[in-house]
Amino acid sequence: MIKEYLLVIFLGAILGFGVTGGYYALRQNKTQQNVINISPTPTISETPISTQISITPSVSETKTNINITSPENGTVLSTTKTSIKGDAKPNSLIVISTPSQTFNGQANSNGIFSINIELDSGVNLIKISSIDSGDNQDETELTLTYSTAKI
Amino acid sequence: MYFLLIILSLFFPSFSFAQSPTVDPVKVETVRKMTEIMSKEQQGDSKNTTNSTTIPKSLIGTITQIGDSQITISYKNENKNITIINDTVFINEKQIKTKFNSLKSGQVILAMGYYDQFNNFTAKRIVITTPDEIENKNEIVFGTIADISQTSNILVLIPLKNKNTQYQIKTDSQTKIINKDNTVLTFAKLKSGQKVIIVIQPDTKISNTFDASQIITIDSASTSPTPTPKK
Repeated sequence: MIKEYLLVIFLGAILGFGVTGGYYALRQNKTQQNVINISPTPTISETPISTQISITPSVSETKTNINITSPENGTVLSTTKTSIKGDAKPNSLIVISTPSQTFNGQANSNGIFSINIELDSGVNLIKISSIDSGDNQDETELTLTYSTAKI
Repeated sequence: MYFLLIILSLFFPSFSFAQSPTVDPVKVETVRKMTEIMSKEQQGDSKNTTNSTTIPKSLIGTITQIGDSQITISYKNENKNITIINDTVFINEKQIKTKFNSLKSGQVILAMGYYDQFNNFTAKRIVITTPDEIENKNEIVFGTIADISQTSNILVLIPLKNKNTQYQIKTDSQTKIINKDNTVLTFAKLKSGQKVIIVIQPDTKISNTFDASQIITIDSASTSPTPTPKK
């Protein structure tokens, strides 16, 4: 008789645990599903999410084989001396003309150049020319301002 | 008793499975990629913002419009808006401080200031200038010497870009003549047929004539010293 009682208790316990366990499991799943549904679905966009800020105006409107990497067009400098860095065709001869002076140098075998120049006071519209080994001339312009005024 | 333990052991694993959150690997990967992209974007933006807001920039042009706190200038057919603030300093042609209301359409100005993160330019200093001040009249011409005067320091250059054009170019004591290696040469070393780069400016007195400030010879052979007979 005791065995039957125990069996009933066990069966009752099994049923109780089973129902309770099943209920909790279902509830847990439902909660997770709700959380996922509420949160915005993440999407990966190919285009940048935030607004792209373009601050560098193009140095030249025409397509050219000479490209100035530093300083940026329109930069205000507080020293007269600066280096014009950029790239052109390999071993090109580079001529830089400020309103009052001319500087020249040569690009290396990779086309990279860095030429020290001296600026005039105020606005300097700088003309830069490259002549490659095939006698092709490319030109670009760069505007730099030399000012010691507090900006 | 053992039976009870066996039954209970059957339930505990099921509880643990039910309570542990199900992780969707696709969603996890998506979120990871999104975070990565957003992080990169934020880094990029902060770099741009740093550059745009810390490096002073300048704009030049002719005033086309004046508003309450904004000026529009035009340079090379491109319009730019400049925001004026209370701190903006105005300097006239005589280098004397002036006021915002003294600006007029048609004046050429140099505006110095900063771009913000939205690419708006705010001027901290505006200098009224002249068109000559923002010009560079120099021209860099690469060509072949067509003719050299025997009596004066004048040469004729045909540019390689446009062989139908000819430049009559004057040189003087101020003209720097060098070769590619920066070795100083004299006018007498220049020869017809030689390829040169010449930096010129239009002569204000004689039309179709240009003044050379620098001549760079390209041909190394022609720059070799010419043997002179010994007396």
